[in-house]
Amino acid sequence: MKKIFLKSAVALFVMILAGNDVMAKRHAESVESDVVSVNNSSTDGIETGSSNTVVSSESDTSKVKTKRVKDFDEWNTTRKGWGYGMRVGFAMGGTTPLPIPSEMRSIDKFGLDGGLMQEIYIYREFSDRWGIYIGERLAWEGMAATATVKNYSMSFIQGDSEVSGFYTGVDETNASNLSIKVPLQARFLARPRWALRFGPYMQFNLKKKFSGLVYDGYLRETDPTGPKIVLSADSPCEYDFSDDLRTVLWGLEFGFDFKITKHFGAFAHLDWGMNNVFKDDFKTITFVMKPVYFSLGLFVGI
Amino acid sequence: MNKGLRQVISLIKKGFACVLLATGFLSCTSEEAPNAECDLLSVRLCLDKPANVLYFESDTLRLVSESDKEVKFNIRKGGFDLDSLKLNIKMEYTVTPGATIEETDRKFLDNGSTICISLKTTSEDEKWNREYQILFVATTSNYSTAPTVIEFGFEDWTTEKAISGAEWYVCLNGDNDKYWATGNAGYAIPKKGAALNEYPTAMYENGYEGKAAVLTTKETGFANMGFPIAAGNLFIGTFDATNAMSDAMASTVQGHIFQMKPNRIEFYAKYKAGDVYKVKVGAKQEVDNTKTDHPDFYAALYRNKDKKGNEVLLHGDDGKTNENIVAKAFMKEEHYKDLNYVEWKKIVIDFEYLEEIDEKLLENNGYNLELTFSASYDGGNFNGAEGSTFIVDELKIYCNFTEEELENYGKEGQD
Repeated sequence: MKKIFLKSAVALFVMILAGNDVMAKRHAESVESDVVSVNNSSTDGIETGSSNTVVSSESDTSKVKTKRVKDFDEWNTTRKGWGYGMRVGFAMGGTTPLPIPSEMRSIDKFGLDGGLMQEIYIYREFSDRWGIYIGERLAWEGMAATATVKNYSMSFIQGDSEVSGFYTGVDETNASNLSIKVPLQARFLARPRWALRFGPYMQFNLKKKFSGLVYDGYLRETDPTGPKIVLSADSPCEYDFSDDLRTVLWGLEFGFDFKITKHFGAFAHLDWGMNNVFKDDFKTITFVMKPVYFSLGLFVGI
Repeated sequence: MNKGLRQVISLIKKGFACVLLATGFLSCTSEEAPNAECDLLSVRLCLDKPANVLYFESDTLRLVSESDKEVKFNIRKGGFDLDSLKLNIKMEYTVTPGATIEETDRKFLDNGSTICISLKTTSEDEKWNREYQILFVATTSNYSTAPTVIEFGFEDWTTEKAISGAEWYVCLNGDNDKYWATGNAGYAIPKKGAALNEYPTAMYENGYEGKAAVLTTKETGFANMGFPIAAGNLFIGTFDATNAMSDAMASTVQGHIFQMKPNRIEFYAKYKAGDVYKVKVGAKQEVDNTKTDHPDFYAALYRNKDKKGNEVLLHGDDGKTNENIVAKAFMKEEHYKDLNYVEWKKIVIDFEYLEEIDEKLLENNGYNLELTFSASYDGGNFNGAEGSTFIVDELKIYCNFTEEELENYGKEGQD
């Protein structure tokens, strides 16, 4: 079954490549004919001799247009066809409430946990500029943040033991995901070497973590008038909400690719989570937490 | 410079600009919310001649714990007009920054022997309120030099409910329900759903006579927070749950004013040690096969003011060692070695005096008596065996006896 699947995948890939070449050739021919017609019109302009300035201007514009088309073709083999490639990069960001609530007084320390991504992608261009893009990305994104919070609603749960209330003090959070992300985007070739991408993505978490420590503060049990429980720096309390995280998330991604050579380039994109990382029945953290990650890296492809 | 290279540099610059923008966005926090807490932190009595009203001038200032709902001032009975005091007494308060406080009521309780002033605090964000009672109790002196036996049968119990919904047993002593305390409020923090008899300290139906108190060492489920067990305890004083999870020793405030000279303690007990002795090592528990659990009991009479006149209250960590202790009665191996869980054993411990008692100070509320039972001798340090059970009943405190009188009284008791 696996072999059949692999063979089909390889066959499909070869077909895409072959189709791509054919499409590229067709496209090149169509561009060449466009250039010829443009040149003809400019020759016509000289023959009429109506206005040298205008003629010259039209001629320049045409030349520029021609050059741009050439540039687009020079840097993009797949005009009006299929493209594919692979990218690797660093991911930086975190899981955060946005806007940051007043309960969070300061972020004292911030570091990355993981921060790598690798993606294979494929796109189809429907016009000179516009196309559709789909990718399959393995992302290991995470953060380790130390924040000072005030009246931050939280619970510590272990088995049938639970302490919940409002915490004031230091909070160290480690949040990370190993996930498969599938971006489905519109791709716009803004310049010969620049492509912009925008669209939604789905995120399927394979591994998820949201845990931390609280110390050097106190918890008001149940509500701000409840018993005060001191959590000293010597005996920090641990919490772990990993099981309360959602497995499927979605968000919006905005990215841009820049070609350094014809088949190699750099990219950057911003992933902005649209739903709460926690399940609906999770009440411990009262505000919506969303993942926001910025990635920077390199790609190879056509 | 190569055009391509320049564009790459430009791209990197733009990338960093985006990172900086994102970082700046993430690090900006909104304006600090107003405080939600509304605790009364201290009360100061404004009196022209405090010595006429209070036993000690330093008693004019009383610090209030976050877990307190009432503040009690013991005032001298007689010598001044209670009606006038009720009308004219003035107080200064400190509260959580931004919170406000208002007096809602001022009345007499207990047939006119107690002035009760009700207060209501409101948080800075105006969403939360707390209510407090300031009590001025005209105390009748219990000072006596006659031989007296004070008895506690542990017959009267009630329950206390926290705002979290947790409910536990409280041992009463006649009309003074604040005499005995337990650590149940600390256990209630993680174990809100526990039944009344699942708490470390509970009422026991089949006592030596009538009801008794049963103290059990229980696991809390929070070993990795440095709070692995709660040893059942019963003590004279108050329990402040504020430090229950980080410093259990500090949460037991031990002792009440006592105006007699205690000579001997007697009580009946049963005991069984839990199977596995565990010690707390950092935020973990380790089994220690070399140790077996045993119960603990200690009582001490101590001076409740230091040399500067400041209030002294003993806690779990200095309950046996504080320099203000003047007489002590500690349980030793000879007292607990024969205890079992089948039959009741009578335990008798005599007080050992470390210094002479100042009779005038004794009469003027200058001494406190602390008295503590625990199911695990090192439970205050979170070391012990889960399941260790100590049942105590029919406590007697012999006071003001001479040795001869005590011997004779004992013989009379046996007759």
